[in-house]
Order: sequence, then C-alpha cells, then structure tokens
Amino acid sequence: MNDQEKPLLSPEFSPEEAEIARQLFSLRQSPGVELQRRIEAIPQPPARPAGVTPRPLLGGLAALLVAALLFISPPVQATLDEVQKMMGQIPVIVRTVWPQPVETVVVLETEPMSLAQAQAAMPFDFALPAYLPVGLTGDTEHVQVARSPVAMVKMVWRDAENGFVQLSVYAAGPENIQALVGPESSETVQINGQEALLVRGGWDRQSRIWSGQAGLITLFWTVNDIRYRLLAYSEVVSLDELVAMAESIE
Amino acid sequence: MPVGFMNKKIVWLDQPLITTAPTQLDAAAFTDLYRTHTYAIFNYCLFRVGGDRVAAEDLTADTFERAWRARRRYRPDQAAFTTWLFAIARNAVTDWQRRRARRPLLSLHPQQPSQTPSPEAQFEENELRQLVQMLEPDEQELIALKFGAGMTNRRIAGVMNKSETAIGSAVYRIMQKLRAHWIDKTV
Repeated sequence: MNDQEKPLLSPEFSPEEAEIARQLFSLRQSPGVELQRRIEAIPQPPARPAGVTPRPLLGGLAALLVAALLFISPPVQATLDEVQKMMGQIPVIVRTVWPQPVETVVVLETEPMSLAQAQAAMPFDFALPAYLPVGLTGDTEHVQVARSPVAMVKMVWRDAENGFVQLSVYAAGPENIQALVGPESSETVQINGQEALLVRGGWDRQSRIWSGQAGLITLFWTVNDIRYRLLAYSEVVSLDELVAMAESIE
Repeated sequence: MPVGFMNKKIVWLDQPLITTAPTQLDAAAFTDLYRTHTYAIFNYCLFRVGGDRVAAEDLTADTFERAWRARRRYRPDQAAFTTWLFAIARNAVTDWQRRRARRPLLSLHPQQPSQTPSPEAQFEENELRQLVQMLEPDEQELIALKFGAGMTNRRIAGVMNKSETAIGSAVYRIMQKLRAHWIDKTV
C-alpha cells in the first residue's frame, strides 16, 4: 500500500463525520529528513562474539537430528502412519510430514492463459465467485491451467498489499485427487447447505513438515462433479468471507 | 480409495508450499521496507503522542531499531510485515507512555509547531487533537491506525487482533462520538 495515499472514506459516514475524517487525515505530516537519515543508519552487521555458533548452522544440526529421529527410530516412524478419510466429500490423507519418496505426490504443472481461453480449454464449465471481499481485484488475463493428469484452472485475486485469495477448480471424479493435510487441521463446514472440508495450515517449503500456525485457511468442496478449492491467509480475508465467496459461486 | 500409500500416486490439490521459517531481512530489504512504511509509522506515532513531532520521530526511529534487532523473529507466514511492524510500534508507544507517566512533562502543551500555515487552521488542528486525546486509549489507538497510518479496517483488525466487523463498528461509533463533541465545541 502506498502509505501516503488517503484511504477511501467509509460510505456510511455522514457529511459531518466525513468532514471530521478529512480533517483527521489533514493532521498527518511528512517525516523530516533527519528521521530518514536516522533510520537509514540502523542496519548494521551484527558483531558475533567469538566461539558462538551461527544460528543457521545450529538450525541445520537440529534439522539433521529431527531427520534422524524421523527416519531411523521405529516408534517415531510409526507416528508417521497416514490416516485416510472422507471429509466434506473430499478424500483426505492426514500426515505429519511430507511423503517419501516425493514421487508419490504429483504437483500439477500449469500454464498461463486468459480466463476466456481457460474456459474454452477446460473440459468442464466453471463459475467464479459473484462476491469478492472489498479490496480484492482479479486479473482475468492471467489464470493458470493444468491439463494433465487432471484438468484444473486457477485464478488469484490480490489486495493492495499483495495478500491473495486463490481459487482452483478441478474436474472431480478420480479417487486419486486427494487433499494431503497435517494432523488436527481439518473440519467440515457448510457451503450452501452442503458439507465441505476446511483445512487450517500448510506444508513448510523447507522442512516439509505441517505447520498448523501458518494462518492459511483452505476450503474444498464439490459441486456437480466439479471440485473447488479456495484458499487465503486469514489476515487477508476471514473464514466468513471465504465461505461467502465460495457460496457465491453459482 | 487406494489402500497402500507407497503404491499409489496422489494428485495433490495444488496446495502451495509455504515458508514458516524465520526470514532474515537483510539491509537492502530493510531499506526498502522502511521507505515504504516510515510515513505510516511516523503518523501513527504522531497521533498517539498528541502531535508531538519530536516524540513521534523518536518513536519512529525506535520502532525501526526494534524491528531491525528482531528481524530474525519475523514470520511472514504468520503475519504481514505491516502487522508485525505496527505491533512493534504499538509496543514502543506503550513503553513511551509508561516512561512519560513516571516522569511527567513540565509543559502542558508539548505539541511542536506543525506545518499548518494559518492561525485558524492551527486552532482547528489543536481543537481536533484535543478531541482525539479525550477518547479512550483503545479509541485513540484505532484513530491513529485509521487516520494516522491510513490503514484499512482489515489491516487494523490484523494489528489489533479483532474482527474487521468489530473494527468497522468501532470506527463508526468513534466518529459519531467525535462528531457530537465537535458540534458541542463549535456551537
């Protein structure tokens, strides 16, 4: 966001309140040059006391230890057993860590195209949300499409600070289209009266361990053999807004 | 559904991999960030200290110093940088208020001359600042984030850990309160 840009005044303000808001905005001042210099001078390379192990090295050692525990110790290995279940009409695999070997997971390769091209290319009809939370805008000239092993189209809406909401629409059907999630991350919610899957969290890119504290919320649901997935960070849109978006897809 | 995990291929529903490890902001990234956020942080502080420009500049510098020291603790997947930075700014202001409470200022009017040109405008500005100072601390905080930092209700909700609806209602209520006081002052 451009911080110097005045935000739009709420439409519910009366003329008098809007005038007060205008005057409140007018109280803002520009920071002085001296302050800019003070802040510019802040970043300094931290002096490391002799004999102190760098944190990245400690992190690497810790990761090695965790890896050894995970893949050598039988009791720990046993905890990695996956749980398979159906939730909200979606096949779900619950695991603590990303599967090994990684070849068992197929991440879809996508290509960019316009929304109109995607609608023509997909072997199914799909719709977009009629409701968008305030501040989100989408680019219909750039959507992502996968053709194999499953047809999928993905669209993203962004806010002014690069927060995003992402919708993916899949041709449903094959049982091997599954949600791979971490433990205690899933529950069911209602979308237009139909059961859907809600997942909180995501897989860490580095460690491939599930993080339930990541702030990522994802909805999965199926309508007329079309499978939808809508995800966002909770600070960009609330769960209520995400459900409202999902329910507005007709 | 397939039974043997190792014997099957999963088409995963394209869940993005995320970064949960701490990000180390380097000096170049920090410079970009402070250039983006200095104006908002400074004006947030200016509102919180009743227009005391010197205090606002000190608090802004303090905020960025704290952010630089704490940069390894920043978790981009838990909070937007704005949210994290404003949490630091709020703490800096709270500490400043505690220090000031222990050592009251001699001057009853700590505000520095502003950039407002005319005496009339200066008078109105002071009136408005006084009105804001009469609000409850939480309300002053919200006004500082909304009109000082220029944040949307959604971003304020993230910073104050409240729902966007609650923030919208609070802004509406505070504006009505300010309006009532404003009319009292001007009639």
